[in-house]
Amino acid sequence: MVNRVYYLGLIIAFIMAFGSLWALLTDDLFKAIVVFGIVSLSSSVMFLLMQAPDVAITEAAIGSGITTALFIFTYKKLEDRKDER
Amino acid sequence: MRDERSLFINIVALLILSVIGFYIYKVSMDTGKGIKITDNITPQMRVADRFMNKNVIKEESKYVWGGTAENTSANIVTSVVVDYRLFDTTLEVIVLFVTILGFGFVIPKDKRKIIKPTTILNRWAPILMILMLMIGGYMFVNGHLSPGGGFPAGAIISTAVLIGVLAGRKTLSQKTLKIIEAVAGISIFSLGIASFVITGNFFQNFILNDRIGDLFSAGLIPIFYGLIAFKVAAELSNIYFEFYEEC
Repeated sequence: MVNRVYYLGLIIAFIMAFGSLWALLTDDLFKAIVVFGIVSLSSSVMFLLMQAPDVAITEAAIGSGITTALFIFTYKKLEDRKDER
Repeated sequence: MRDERSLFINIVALLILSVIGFYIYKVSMDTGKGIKITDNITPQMRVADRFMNKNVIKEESKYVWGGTAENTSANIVTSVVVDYRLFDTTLEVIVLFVTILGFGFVIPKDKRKIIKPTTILNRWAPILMILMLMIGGYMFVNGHLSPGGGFPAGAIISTAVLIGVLAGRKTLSQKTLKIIEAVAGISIFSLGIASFVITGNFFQNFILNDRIGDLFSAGLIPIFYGLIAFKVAAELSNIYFEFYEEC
């Protein structure tokens, strides 16, 4: 049981590290926003594995829901500005 | 065409209702005595029992639940957060409020056409909103029994408003949101002042005589959590409408 949780945590940590590097290095802003949402979702699973369900709920609602939505709103606004020029 | 759509919506609503009814039936069969909302004699299936019987030290040792401020609620983390450290959450909420004040000044107002959402999103938005509102309400009503609380509950309720914004349905006016926010903020601080007058400490719980683990227990904690949830939900929804007005 402990081993299984350990390996799941390792996989999620790998996904988080890979996703954060990808979000930093990519040129496309939209891809960066979506990958950032995936990183915060996997970090909420990580909090759940670390026996902190309160923080996991907050992270899943705010980190991967609201923050991604606000970033996408801002991205749309930036694209509109680009079209006007 | 219109009749077909309304028929589809009715079928989906009946499906969801039947799922909820099945779970209510299952719970009533498990306890064996039907549903009793205020059952003070034979509690068998309470949400809080798992928390109250949880033990990290030894299997046989029992924690004594008393009437002090630390263990008024089944979830001890909640009673510490709300009774001792509610200043954290209230100051977070004030920071959010100042952020939203800044939004109105920084974001330039320019009109843009609203792209019409797809039919699927437009039709499914009310159903998803009802589910989101149910989950958010569960979070702050059961904040003293299970993990959850005011801040995530407010965030989840505001995602329901976000789905409405994305689907092109304007659900609330900004004036209503401001009234909700003002009433919640004023009542949080007036409850704090009342507890200062009664017990001598700010935000201290002054209703203690309840059976621990019930839904209607833990005194002021669910009230504070509900107020915080409504305030956070109103503030976060204000941001979406601020974007929605011109995008």
